[in-house]
Amino acid sequence: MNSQISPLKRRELWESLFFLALSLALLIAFALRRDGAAVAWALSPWLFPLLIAALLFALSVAGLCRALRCGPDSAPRPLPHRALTAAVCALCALYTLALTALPFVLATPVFLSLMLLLLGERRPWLILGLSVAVTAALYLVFALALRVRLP
Amino acid sequence: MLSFSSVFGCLLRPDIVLFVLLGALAGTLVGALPGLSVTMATALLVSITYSWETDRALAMIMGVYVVGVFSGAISAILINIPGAPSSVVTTLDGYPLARRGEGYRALQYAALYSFVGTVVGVLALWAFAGPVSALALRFRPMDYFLLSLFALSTVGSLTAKRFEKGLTAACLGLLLSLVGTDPVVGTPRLTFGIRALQGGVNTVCALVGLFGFAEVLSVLSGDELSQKPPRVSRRGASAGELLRHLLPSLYYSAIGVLVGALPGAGGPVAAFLAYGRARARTKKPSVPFGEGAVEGIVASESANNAVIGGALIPMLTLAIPGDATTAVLLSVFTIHGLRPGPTFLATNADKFALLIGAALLAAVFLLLIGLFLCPHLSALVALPRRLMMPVVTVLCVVGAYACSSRLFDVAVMFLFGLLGWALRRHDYPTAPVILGLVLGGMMDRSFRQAVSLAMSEEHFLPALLGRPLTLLLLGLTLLSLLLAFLRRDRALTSGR
Repeated sequence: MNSQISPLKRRELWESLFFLALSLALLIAFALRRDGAAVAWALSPWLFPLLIAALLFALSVAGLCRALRCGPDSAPRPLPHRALTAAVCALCALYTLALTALPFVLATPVFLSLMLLLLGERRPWLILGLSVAVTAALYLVFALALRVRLP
Repeated sequence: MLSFSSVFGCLLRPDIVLFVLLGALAGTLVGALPGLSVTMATALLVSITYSWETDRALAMIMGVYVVGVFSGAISAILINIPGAPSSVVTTLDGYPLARRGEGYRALQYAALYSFVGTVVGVLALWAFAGPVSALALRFRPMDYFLLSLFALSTVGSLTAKRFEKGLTAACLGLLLSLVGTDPVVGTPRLTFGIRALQGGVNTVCALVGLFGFAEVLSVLSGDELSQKPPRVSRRGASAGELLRHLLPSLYYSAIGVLVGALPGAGGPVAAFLAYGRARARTKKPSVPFGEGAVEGIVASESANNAVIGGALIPMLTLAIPGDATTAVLLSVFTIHGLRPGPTFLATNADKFALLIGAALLAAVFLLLIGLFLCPHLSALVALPRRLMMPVVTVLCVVGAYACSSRLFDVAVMFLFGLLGWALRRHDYPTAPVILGLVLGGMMDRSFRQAVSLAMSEEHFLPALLGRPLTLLLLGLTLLSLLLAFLRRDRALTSGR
């Protein structure tokens, strides 16, 4: 049976099952909450979340039925640059960590240069020039002109 | 009612014209930069204008307010990062146009119809402040809940190929909006013990992440990095093409005024409702909606700018702010010794006239800035993607940090970016997530208020749903859901 289900349809089934599981977990978690129990149920902080979880459950069931009855509408988009995407995400995480220790004007040109290198830019003058110019422009506009705090 | 001479007479003062212009330029910058908001700029101006003459303070703040609301469309169209939640709808059709090299044209439409929306809103404030505020007063908690539900069901069905996916995205947004401290009982909710979450999820961080960083990840993970950037067209729309949508924009502006007059509803609801109406009534759009239809830009920009006039109505006549920015404006009035309320229009006619005159003047500056200055920015789209994406990423970081000066918000922004990217890859729309985030708090409070009020009555259901206005809103919501369900059913039976 599994071999008769196309990868596309299998993906849609897994999506619906994911939301079904999420909504069931939320329904159970919200229904069992006791904090706020001193107030009437109408004012309970868990009333509205419970309703949303119930709606999500209904939508997941509808999605599951649809996935079982029909084929998917669109082909999944290919992901040709997984490694690049993962590398950029890691770089962004490192940049955020670096901002805890370094000021914006130091961390940002380094981040910009590394990201430009990752994306395939190889002209040193452009990498350095753009990194410094963008950092300076953002500092001038935000910190000096608008008096908005930078990291 | 105020005379023309009292409204336009204040414009003969060079200092008022200058301060409106300064405010307009500041509003352009603030509104276009992701992470900064008109509300933030207005709040900063409260302290800056504290010692100024009242007229000059009001003039500058109106300049920032009016042009700031429009300029959220600049970044929405050019780089798919809405400057404010009310510009989310503009991204749906504005950004696809910019990607085809027609950003200039998109900005022209946004500028012109923002101008139309602002003028309609301000004229409604001038002429109909009394009746519109009386209508707004008739809304009860259940009506607010149903109006928000209607907006969510509309956007959920319009922005996704599949109805269930749109509503699922809206539910995700609603759940995320509930993170934080419950406003009624005061207990933490869905914070998982993280203290930084007790204030809730910052909407601006979510917006920047879902649209800005998610776009960066989409570009990186797809084939666009290696593609040549589009040729930017310098051919704008002709006057005839631009003005063809004038009549429908008056209708969308009316939606904006009415929704703006409801405290808490605001620009995003008005823009989405107007967009829904545009899709329903436009039989042959220029291109399909969601792929660069100018009718979509006309609807969203007319409505979200008309909200300005609408939001000022309850603020001035009832001292109830219509949105966050008018809440700050209320404090400006108080600082300068003015008392908005039922007698304001009678006792402060000169200040009322100044507000209207300044708003209309700001609308003119909006048009000039939008038509002549902004289109030159459309050349940004011609930059190679591998140079743009790092800059957009840093802009997202700065924008997220600017909200509350916390690196935690930057982390939240990145997480929302990953969520937005994952949703896009699986054909779930992100616009309903933002609308859910914006409306969730109000829906939660309104629903609980409505239910607890109805429980104290003898008959629960009639007390909850028995009013004509409530039944009308319930009917509209159910109709919207039914139509979306029938469209889905037709698709199922046709085998799609």
